[in-house]
Amino acid sequence: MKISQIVFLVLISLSGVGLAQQVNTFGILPSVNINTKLPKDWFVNFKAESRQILFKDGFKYSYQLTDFSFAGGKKVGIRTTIAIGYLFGITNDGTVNRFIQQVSHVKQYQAFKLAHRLQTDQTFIKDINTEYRIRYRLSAEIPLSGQTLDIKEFFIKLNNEYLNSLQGGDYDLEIRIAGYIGYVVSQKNKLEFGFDNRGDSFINDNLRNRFWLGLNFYQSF
Amino acid sequence: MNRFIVFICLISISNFGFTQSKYEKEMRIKEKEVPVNVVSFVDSMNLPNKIKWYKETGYNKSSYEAKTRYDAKRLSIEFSENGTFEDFEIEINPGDILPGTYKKISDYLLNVHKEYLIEKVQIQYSGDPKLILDYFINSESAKGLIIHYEVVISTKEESEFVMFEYLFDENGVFVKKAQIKITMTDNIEY
Repeated sequence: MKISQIVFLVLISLSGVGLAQQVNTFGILPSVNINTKLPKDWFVNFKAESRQILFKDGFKYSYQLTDFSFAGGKKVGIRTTIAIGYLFGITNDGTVNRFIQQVSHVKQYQAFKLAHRLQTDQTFIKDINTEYRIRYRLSAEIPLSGQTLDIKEFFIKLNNEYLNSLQGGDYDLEIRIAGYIGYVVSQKNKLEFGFDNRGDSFINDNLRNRFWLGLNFYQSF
Repeated sequence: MNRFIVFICLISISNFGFTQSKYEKEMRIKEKEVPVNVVSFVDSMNLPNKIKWYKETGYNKSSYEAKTRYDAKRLSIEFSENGTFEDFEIEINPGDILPGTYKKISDYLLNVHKEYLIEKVQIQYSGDPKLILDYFINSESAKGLIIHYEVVISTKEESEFVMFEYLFDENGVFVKKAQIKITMTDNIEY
């Protein structure tokens, strides 16, 4: 299968996910992620992500939030890392504080990488009940040429995440499906462009479906 | 927001400039892009499963590789750029190595690394291509073939997790080792 055919299929299927359901919100979600390796397998990670809404009950631009997160962690196995972090978010209504704990495991298969990520977080917003979440994400990174992902090579990234939330006694489940086309710029950085579809509130309320256009940049030192 | 996008673009563009010129790349290719003598060598092995072709390009060397599965094991056959047979490798279990040879390999690894985990073992055959085909197709003796064991391990060195690829000869004598570079996985972890 040609690369263009794969790209076409991914884009069509992802757009289908969004169109098949009722899309409440459409926007852009650019992010920058910087990871610095420290001695003895310690590392620090910084991420900045901004959400800009382009469509919500009609086409209209509005700023939603910008998150800045800092995490520190350690490799505890050849494929496993643990990390704790703090996120500071700026919204139109105020600030968000979140504490994050995560463990991730990456396995290299013959032709792709698979990553499992288990994360818990606690979100604090003024005058709102604390939100506790436990989330699991499965990510696959598939090279588009050859079995290993090399420099100057395109790849596909697919994510599926389940976020269980408890807030003021109310439970909710959010499901995220994302697909990106990525490019390995150099040994130390990658660029990704794609869609991130997020649906929640379907257990107790009407589905809230958000469709984001993502542009991610990853730099490691 | 505009500033944010400009920031991302500038970082990306600046990194294109700093990209290393020395790199290796493995590309999937079609059979028609492979030298005829390479294809006919692999065809003569009568491999039952689909063969995938790859071209590996390095700084000063290129090679062709055929990959398939044989007896539920991964098999790869490597050729130089001009189509000369180099070796073929089959993934095996550590228990498939002769006990005496395996003990020598284990003793060597334990001597170098206090603790290690075997990630992958391959038996590698090289030498006269005719002998290789006789051995593979007609199950003739491996006499005259050059046999090596490629052993990939993970271990800790100076408090950091690392991976090495070791090469031992058919008697379990160390030949060489190389550290495997662990590629960046930030984008599937964060």
